[in-house]
Amino acid sequence: MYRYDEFDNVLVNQRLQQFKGQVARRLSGELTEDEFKPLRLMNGLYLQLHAYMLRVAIPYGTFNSRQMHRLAHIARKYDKGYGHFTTRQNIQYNWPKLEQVPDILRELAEVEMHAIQTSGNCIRNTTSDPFAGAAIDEVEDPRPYCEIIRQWSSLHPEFSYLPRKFKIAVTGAKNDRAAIKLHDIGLRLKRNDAGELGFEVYVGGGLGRTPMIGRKTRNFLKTKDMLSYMEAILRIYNLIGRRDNKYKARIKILLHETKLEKLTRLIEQEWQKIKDGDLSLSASEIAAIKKIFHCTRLYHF
Amino acid sequence: MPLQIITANELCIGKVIYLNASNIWVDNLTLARAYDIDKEGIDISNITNEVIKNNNVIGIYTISVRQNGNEIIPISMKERIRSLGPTVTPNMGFLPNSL
Repeated sequence: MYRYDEFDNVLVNQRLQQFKGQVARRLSGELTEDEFKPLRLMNGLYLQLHAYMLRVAIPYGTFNSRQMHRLAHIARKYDKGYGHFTTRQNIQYNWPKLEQVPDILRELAEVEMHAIQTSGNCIRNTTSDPFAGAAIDEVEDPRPYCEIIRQWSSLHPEFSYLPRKFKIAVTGAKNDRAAIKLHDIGLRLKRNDAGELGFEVYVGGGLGRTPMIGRKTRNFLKTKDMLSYMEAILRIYNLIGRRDNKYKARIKILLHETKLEKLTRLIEQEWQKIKDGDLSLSASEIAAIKKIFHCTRLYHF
Repeated sequence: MPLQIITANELCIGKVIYLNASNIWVDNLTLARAYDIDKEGIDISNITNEVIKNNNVIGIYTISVRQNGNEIIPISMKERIRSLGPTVTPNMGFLPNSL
């Protein structure tokens, strides 16, 4: 499974220290709630109907026993002894105390977990097939591609203030257990007639108050083009997605209003400009990520 | 205009709270002060502007309620649930105690 590299460790620990200071300043009155709210949301901390809620990302729904133990420990020590595993492969703690949230985040960081980008108008935790890596019907394990997406989308400066939240799901199987057509971008691994590995790409799915099924924008996208094509989708959405009404701001509404043909054309035009640039994935890069998944004793949910 | 109650969430733990007649925050709706704006001629925004200076609360707003004997009942379903705690099981939320 994935392991943090030096960038992940530095990034998560820096964010932890920043948030610790922000919570202290909020509790002392130095920061108002208006100033603090966007900061806590960047760290997955909501104020819900009855109490605070902290959402922790579990990338593509995979964790090891050490991480599972730590999640349980956090539930016992800082919450009411339980957490809520969500359909999008996060865990939510429903009764954390504000002053203890930095301690929770520190405990998570120690086992390479965090709550960054679990709320706000950014790219959220990438979800996958709960049976990924072990499913009999999968063309290939989707988790390495989820990990590549995680690395690309974490604190991506261009996509930190999107019109609305943005969710991505990847499956490697025909039987869609990741609900890819209910995501802003859904990717399905497949092989073309030449036996090459690639993706079927769906855009504009979603649930909520306006449920919509995603539409296919590409029948086959080579794996090397995965990031550049998604970057093109995000750029178009970032540029022309509505920002005046949060209920009309998801990409599903943009697709509905713009129509599939035009949106697909805009994405393709943008993609042509960047497809052979830095985001092009080499076979060796993909192979290196695949290597870290050659490990058993993981938990999926 | 229906009776009004001032509500917020406690900063440290996010608990639902209501303002009582002594301008003290309590977590029990029945102890809250219900303002009859029409009768009392009170500008409730003056009160909220004053209590908002208290740094220990967040998200102050008013809710409409009706009185049934000694019982205060929020008019909206959302606020009824908010006052009673999670609907999953009654003991899953914070148990009401005066702060």
